Amino acid sequence: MDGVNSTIISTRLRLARNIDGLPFPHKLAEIPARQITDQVERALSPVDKFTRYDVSDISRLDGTILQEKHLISPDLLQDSPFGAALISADENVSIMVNEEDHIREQVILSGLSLDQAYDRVNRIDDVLSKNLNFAYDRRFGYLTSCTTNLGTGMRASVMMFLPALTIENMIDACITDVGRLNMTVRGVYGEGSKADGYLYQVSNQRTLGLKESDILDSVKSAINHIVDAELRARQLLKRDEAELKDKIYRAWGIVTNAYKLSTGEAMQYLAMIRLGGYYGYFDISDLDKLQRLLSECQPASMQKLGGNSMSVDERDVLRAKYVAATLGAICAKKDK
Amino acid sequence: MKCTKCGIREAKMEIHVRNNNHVEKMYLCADCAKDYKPEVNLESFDMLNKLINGSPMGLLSNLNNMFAEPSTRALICPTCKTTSEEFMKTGFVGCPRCYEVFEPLIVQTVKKLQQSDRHVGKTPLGVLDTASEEARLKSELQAAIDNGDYSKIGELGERLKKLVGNKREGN
Repeated sequence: MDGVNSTIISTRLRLARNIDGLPFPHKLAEIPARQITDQVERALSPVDKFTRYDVSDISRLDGTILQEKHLISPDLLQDSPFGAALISADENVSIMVNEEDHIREQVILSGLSLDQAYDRVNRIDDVLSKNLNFAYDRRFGYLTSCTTNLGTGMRASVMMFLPALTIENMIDACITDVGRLNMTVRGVYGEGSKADGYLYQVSNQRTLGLKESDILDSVKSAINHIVDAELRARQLLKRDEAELKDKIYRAWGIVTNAYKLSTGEAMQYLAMIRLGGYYGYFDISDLDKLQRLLSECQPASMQKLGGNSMSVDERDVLRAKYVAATLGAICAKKDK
Repeated sequence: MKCTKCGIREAKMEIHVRNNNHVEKMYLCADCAKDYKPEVNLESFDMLNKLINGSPMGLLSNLNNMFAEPSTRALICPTCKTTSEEFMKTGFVGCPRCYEVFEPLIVQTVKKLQQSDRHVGKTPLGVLDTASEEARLKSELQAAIDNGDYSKIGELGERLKKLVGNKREGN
């Protein structure tokens, strides 16, 4: 596992767009809001096959699962009564409608794929722009409901796995460094603690006064900086290798033998096993599958897997079995 | 000064309502001001100043001085009824038209937030990319000069002049 693969999980490219002449979603009535979803759905039909999920129709469980997979935002479910999502069959494209803006075009790809993700979202944007009249101003660019997205409407985000910077208490300094490059860093599930799997989202702050290619370049620079810092921290972490190995093997022991496993425990131990893969303590045959396991471990996804209403204890028992079985198929411990 | 609406009571406040490029200035008494939603009064200007200072975004504090200028006071978008107060409080506007109505406020905000107030990125299909068009016309003009094609030189020169003029207006 090389340095980049061991620190970068996925890339997300998002473009915010609005329809000219209509109030933004927080001021928009139900009928025009639903009409926008219909228009977007029709406009997308030549691109791919998309499944439509209307917030008003989707069950709470299914909505939460989409959120756990990072295909929709919590705001869409909680604050957008006329919101909807159109999701491609491969789940690489998710178009949110009537969230903060009328349209949020998103492409999510695994690994560091900023250029590929931008190419794909840009092609979708061109198709939509042929059929929909986007709100655009020569001075301000694409008009958005919040001025923080004005201009390109583009947010390029990279999800990173940063255990060593977190454990070595170097993450705050790193966040300050990339802040100077106009990047923001935040925890994916929370504040990036061990119970959150040491996952962080790095994204551009500025959307105006820069070309899309400039934004991509600045995110790449920030990512390179963070990858270097994380790899240096991983060397530091290895200064007491016996201690490190013990922690990682204990994580393996628990996760493959536990009868019950909470979401937080699963996140923490799977993160240690991923780190163990970097140090060569495990052979991991499918890193994407290991990453998917993190969202599959979340409460709503586990509830869905169980097929019926389960108590927290029952869910924890199912999670322990599921994680052990999945890990058994993709991960093998090397000899000590 | 008498209230410009009822003409009877003394005016207590001044409000400015922008409609397209026209700004209507009104001096109102407390009673007549109640007809305007949201209610605008002198206290609300003080409250707004406090909001700016204590903005959760922490980025709007430099607007204090600008807000003291009458032209930016109590603007209301005629399309979605969003007020300047609402924008300053939340950072959100209500519709594309708000960008015209609150332009001075928005320029100040985005300069601070984004270190720029001018878009240089992608344009939607069908919207002329003036920079590319200017480069194309200049190159065609040079070719016409090289070939001594005087009718084309005149035509291209006119088009270029018009395009550059439009761009300046847009600025």
